[in-house]
Amino acid sequence: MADTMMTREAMQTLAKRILAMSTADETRVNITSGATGNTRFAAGEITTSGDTDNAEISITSTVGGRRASSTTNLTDDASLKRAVDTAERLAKLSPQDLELVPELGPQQYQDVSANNADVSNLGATARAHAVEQLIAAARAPGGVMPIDPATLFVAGFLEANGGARGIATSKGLFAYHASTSVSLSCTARTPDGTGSGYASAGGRAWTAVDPAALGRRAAQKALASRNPVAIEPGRYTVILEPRAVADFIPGLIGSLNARSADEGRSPFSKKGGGTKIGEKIADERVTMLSDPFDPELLGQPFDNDGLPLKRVVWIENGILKNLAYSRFWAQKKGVEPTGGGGGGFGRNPGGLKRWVDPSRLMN
Amino acid sequence: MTSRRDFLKTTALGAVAVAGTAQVARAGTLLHKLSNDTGDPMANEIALAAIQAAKDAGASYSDARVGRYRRQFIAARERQVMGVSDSESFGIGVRALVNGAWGFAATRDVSRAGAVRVAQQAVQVARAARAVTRTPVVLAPTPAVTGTWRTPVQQDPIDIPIEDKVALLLATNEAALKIPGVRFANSGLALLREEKTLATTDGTLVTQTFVRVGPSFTVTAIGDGDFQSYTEEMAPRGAGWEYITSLDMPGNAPKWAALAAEKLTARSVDVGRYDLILDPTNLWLTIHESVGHPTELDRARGYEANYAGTSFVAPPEKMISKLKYGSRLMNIQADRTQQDSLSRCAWDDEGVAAESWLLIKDGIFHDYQTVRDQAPAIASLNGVKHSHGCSFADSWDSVQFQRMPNVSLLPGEHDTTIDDIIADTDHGIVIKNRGSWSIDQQRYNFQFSGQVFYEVKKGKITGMLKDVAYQARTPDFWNSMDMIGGKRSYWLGGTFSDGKGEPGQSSSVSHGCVPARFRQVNIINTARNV
Repeated sequence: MADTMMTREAMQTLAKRILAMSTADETRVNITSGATGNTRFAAGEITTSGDTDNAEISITSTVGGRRASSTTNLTDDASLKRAVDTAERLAKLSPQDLELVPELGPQQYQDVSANNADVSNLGATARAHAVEQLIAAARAPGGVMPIDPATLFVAGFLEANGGARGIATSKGLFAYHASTSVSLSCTARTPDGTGSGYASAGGRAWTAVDPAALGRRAAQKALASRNPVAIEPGRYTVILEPRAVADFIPGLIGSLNARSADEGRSPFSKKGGGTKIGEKIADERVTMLSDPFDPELLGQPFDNDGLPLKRVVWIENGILKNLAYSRFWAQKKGVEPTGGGGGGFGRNPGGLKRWVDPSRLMN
Repeated sequence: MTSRRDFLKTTALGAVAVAGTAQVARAGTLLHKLSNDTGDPMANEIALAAIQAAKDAGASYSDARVGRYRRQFIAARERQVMGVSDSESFGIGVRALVNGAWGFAATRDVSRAGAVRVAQQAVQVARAARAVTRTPVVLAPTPAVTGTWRTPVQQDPIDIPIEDKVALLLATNEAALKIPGVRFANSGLALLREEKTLATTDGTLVTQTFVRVGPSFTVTAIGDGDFQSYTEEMAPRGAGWEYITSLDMPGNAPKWAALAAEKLTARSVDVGRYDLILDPTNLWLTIHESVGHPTELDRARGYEANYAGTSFVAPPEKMISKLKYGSRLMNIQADRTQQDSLSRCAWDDEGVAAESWLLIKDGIFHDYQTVRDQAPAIASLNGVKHSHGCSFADSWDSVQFQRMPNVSLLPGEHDTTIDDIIADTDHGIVIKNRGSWSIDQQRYNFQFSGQVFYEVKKGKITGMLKDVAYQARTPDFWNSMDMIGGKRSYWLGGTFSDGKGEPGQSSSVSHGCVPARFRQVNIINTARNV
């Protein structure tokens, strides 16, 4: 995969070029750049594989209390000027934004080291080798097998990303964060179609992934889940592996918006007004927090406005401790913003972690 | 009255008319002389340079897409504009086939040097993949084509002044907020113009410009300890600004808002079996999920097993012309030629001419959705040697693969309306607009809700219900369909964001349908504590 991640200096230079073109009251420039390499496989063989590089420059202009944005992936002067002009023209044409908060000035960020060369150098040949290892492990003979493992249908996806994000404002803010991420997932299915197993792993470094172990795990699950029997609807104790628990989290993130709760249209709205902060909303064994500095997560330490992100406990021992406050809503309510850039809990909450004590789940 | 046969004939003629805009010619050399109706000369030159470079590097086949995507989003909430954004993305993606294995590479560097670099990179990626490829890719033949095509629009939505767009949304919200009990109103516009040049080593060179518009409107009414929302089903379309204005959003907003307020006092449904009358505004999504997805050949062959899912319509040899998918009233057409539809094109992303064909005929499963490297796998079963033209990539930096064409339920032969169906029903529920839904990865067991629900007793609507969802198995559901609307009641719904593939890609697809009745379907109460 091509090394096209912009350095801090390159991003700062690009941002300065753009800000120099601006005539707005305030301007914010959000830049992303990087490359991705992926390999997809099914039926035990590679089906597609690709390497791409791209950059995205988003310009947000504020003129007379009106704000709009324009995005481009072209970095020549003419294209950048056109994008700046578009953002300013759209801002001028937009109605007054009564919920506008000013752009931020310089901020202090704690560095998060999340950039690993073993991921950015993971080329198509290395990816193909990893896929080969995974498939071989999934189909390897061993032990007493109820079916020939060589007949397992194995599909999956390997993706390696290397990228950088930068934010600059006309008020002097500059934030930069480089990171890599890699993920490998696979599904094994028995030929009769009744058994299926899924396994995945990922992280900031390639060392977080063991392709052969994933292949074996998916195959074991596929073999163990053959010929399931139907059960009657009703109440059962359900045991979910961590990956399955994780799938519940995105829906919960969207619900944590403080404004929706305050306005009476959220599961966390209290009947008669207010929010459920301080109330028990889950079993006391549930704790959920976000922390960009957690070594297992290493998230981006700022949101899309450039606001530094901190460790936030959302649910602690089943008690709702916090909701997500955008800068506007935090100001209105007289509390500290939690970050998220504009909408409350944005796309980059900076790493989310939840703890559920597995030993006690069966109770 | 137009019969189903006439309807088929009409859409098939549409396909011929579209394809007729192309000049079909076999190019003796890749860098052949361009005719006057080809697109941007720079895009053509760079795309041709890319495929030449791939061929020089050892590719047996290559295609290159130069794409420029312009997107505009405007969102308003109550009396506020929440966001106005305009984005442009430009780049080139090159696909190369080497010794039967695919490789892909893409860059935003749209220069001759950039094109050559990614073409060579695509070949390298393909060589690396070859080591883990057991079955060499075989492409179905397709004639070389050159030409241009553009979504027919009266007004390009991107060119409409932003003030007009903002004014439309604010007027819509204002009209909704006048309804008692209504506290929140959100409206939005998603507008797209996509220019795409495709060159292939088979001699194809085409440029297409697609225009798509997606309006949205949701309103929320607050009651005592309760809130109810209503989302109007304003279908996104492959159409111009004139479609947006035809919806008269400000004029209709009070009617839509009143539905949210009325839901506050609606009776919670009693669980049980009802005859279900689905309005086209609800049924289109059920078609998408329970017919559109399971008839994708890549899903049926397991190629989406790790992400989007597989299909109960598998294996092909046991399904084609054998599976009784639904009742005899069920005729499902796949189509990429239909006027105003989101999946409409002249050629797909492999240069295959758009066409229409039947997926389900008189209730029997008939055929799958295919692209060039899939068609040969089932040619001996369905007798179709060419691709059905379902290749699509959502961006220049995404590799093209099989995506859903417009998949639609054809009207019945009688001029039946939804009122006729209601009048014929003794104990039923009418459902309009899409709500939340869930369906398993094989597309076999599902549950769908809606936005508004009406109880039907002895042929008449007796009141509004809430908390309704229907639950069924796909073949049971479609086999229970015993009454459908005629051509006059046909309506085209759709979505801007159908997800599939790894890395994930989003496509736009339309689904036309008529109202239909499904007998004795299980209804659950979504608010009941269990």
